[in-house]
Amino acid sequence: MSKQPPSPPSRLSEADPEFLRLSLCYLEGELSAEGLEKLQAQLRADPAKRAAFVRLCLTGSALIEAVSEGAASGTGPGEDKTKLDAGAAWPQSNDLNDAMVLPAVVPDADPPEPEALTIPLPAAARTSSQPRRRWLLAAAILLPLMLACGLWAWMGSRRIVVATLEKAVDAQWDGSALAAGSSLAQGQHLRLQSGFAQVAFMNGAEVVVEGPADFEIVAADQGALHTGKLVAHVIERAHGFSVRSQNVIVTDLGTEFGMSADRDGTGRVEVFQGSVRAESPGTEAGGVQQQILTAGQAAQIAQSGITVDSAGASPQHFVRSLAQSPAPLDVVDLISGGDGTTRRRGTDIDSMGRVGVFKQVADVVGDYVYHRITGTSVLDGCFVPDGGRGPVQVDSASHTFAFRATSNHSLRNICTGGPIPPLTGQGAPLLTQYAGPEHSVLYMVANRGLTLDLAAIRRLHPGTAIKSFHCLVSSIFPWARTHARASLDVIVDGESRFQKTFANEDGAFPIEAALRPDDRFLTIAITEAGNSPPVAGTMFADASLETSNGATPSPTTP
Amino acid sequence: MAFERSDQKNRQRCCEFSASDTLLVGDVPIPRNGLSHACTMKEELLVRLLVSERVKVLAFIRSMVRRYELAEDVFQDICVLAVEKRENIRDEAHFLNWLRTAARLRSLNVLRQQGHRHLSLDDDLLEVLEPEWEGHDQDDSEVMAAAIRRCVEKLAPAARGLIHRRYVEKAKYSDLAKELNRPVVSLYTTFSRIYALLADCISKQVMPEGRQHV
Repeated sequence: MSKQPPSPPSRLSEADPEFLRLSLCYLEGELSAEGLEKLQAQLRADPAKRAAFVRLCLTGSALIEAVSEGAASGTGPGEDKTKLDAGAAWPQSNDLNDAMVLPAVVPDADPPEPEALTIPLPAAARTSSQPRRRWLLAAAILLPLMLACGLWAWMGSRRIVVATLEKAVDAQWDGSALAAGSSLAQGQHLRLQSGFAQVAFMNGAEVVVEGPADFEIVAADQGALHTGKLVAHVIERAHGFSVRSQNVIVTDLGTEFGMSADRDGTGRVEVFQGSVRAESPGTEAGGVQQQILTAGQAAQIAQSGITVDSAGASPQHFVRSLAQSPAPLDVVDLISGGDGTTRRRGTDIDSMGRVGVFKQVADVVGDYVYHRITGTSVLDGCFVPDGGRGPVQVDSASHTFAFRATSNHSLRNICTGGPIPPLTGQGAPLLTQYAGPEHSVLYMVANRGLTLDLAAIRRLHPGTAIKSFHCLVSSIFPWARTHARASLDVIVDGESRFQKTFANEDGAFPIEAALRPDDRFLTIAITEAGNSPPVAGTMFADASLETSNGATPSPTTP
Repeated sequence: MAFERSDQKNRQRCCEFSASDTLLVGDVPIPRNGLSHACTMKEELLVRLLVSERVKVLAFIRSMVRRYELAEDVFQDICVLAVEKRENIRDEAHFLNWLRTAARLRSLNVLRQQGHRHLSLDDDLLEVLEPEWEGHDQDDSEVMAAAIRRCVEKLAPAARGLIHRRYVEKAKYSDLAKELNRPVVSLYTTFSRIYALLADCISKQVMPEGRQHV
């Protein structure tokens, strides 16, 4: 027979029971010649049965190894739990059958079991066997080699694997490099000089660690952040997952949370979804301090205890995912403090670069100054464009752009919103179809400019390339000035990438501006055109940054 | 044990073998590109691989020699062989290839020596099963081991008791059947179902998003 590719896996519990029984009889060395013939015929005929046979072999081997180790050690973190305690578990009656044994087997999807990674056994069961002694004999042969290699400590402290390195992006390791897919044992440290690592714990929790960081795998449901930053995503069955640092233990109550820790023990906890319980030893006099933090809340951690920070949580403080998905990033969410995926809305930016929720202002007069925006990493600054005095600074790197001369006046704050309101009169009918809750709007009146820091956005999404800026643009001229005109410029690092002058009656139009990997600042500016007064409101619907899998994960081989 | 190369001219070449190259490690002939004299795998890696591949290699050996105790013996022979010949093992990939080849040939030799070859799977079937084993090359034995410990905990106490009696106390199926007043065949059915549930549980533990290995 020629080789065939391996068969796709399926649930072994759904395999033919008679085939499974034959296979097990064979593996136990008790299959008759007739049974062997039958088994071989089935294996030759059915690829699925060949796959099932191999899985059965692997399961048996893993089972016997696990049970033997438990018998040999007789110890483990779950010493007090019932495991293979024959005395307790063995049915006393003589009518044991499948109905007694198997329906009680907990289905796969059941709630998480308590952590116990070894299988303690009653003392009476700790018997040695001939094969076990032979293994020790082989170990004796290996011992000199192991000592020569300094491996005794490694072998002596048995690795208990409780997590896996799922992914690493731009990771520079302090010490031995780890490749994606590496198993991670209790007590193992992930020391990142820079870059990112995504760890999947065996209880289902996932942690994204951002370097520089020292993160320790403590147990299947616990980590320790000695320094650095992380975000933990805890699915329902992994609730109870905790991360400790020098001055706090953060226990998940069903959530996604970010955490940072400095060498001096200070740090921060921010909750993005659900809630966490933060516990701190507090002051010497005050004893243990406990604080429940819910979605949107943040707290500062210090040796003195936990202090809730009214600034709240910001997705821009952490890298929340290493998923290199080509999903577009929501520009309004970015402007509103999100990372492009959190659908934040409702932020205003005034002419001085302050970000918040403000009363609208009637008139804005330009001051020929580029105003840096602080408090949010992805917004670089804003300005009132008037080319009457020459090129205008459009970003913090002092790039300039030659706008046409304007009145140097504008109206209102730059604002963001959620669903696009139904438009009447002068509004573009096309935009009405964007009125659902899943859409977004950025609103600017003529003679305003806003600049985003693309590098800061890339930092929030490691390994992702930003390919282009997209949105649907429409004039929103509130007072029915049908002849009002405005000019839209999309500028990157002082260079024009899109330009269009449009009138109210032109309706909505899509724009796309290509972006390159080394582009740093993206500026959007609206200026009055011709003799129009500065009332030419412009709506940017569903502004987004298209992305692609731009960077290759960089784990290096050991 | 003899260690020979059929083509001495290639001794100077690192990591390259001609089609005629064959090594004999003990009684195990190693095909070309299996080993290299000039390229030496570090001892640390060798020991790590022997430990980390143990569960998978034991399963592979058991699929031929059947009894677990005998599988352990074969595996230990191979470990000793690997340590003795470590200078000739080049890198991880080649070592893993060597490991399975050595396991297969050694297992069949043992069966022949015992006169039990006819009780094991035929050669052509072993060949057909090879891709299935290769499909598990990336499985991490340690992750599997950790997963099965958790899965065993999910079993009903009676099922755990059965496992304890069989694999810790080494009770024979016939003895278990007598104790439980059940036919042996029914006990095998019960055990095979426990095995199947554990296999599915491991798949979920190792690949929680639906991707299944063992």
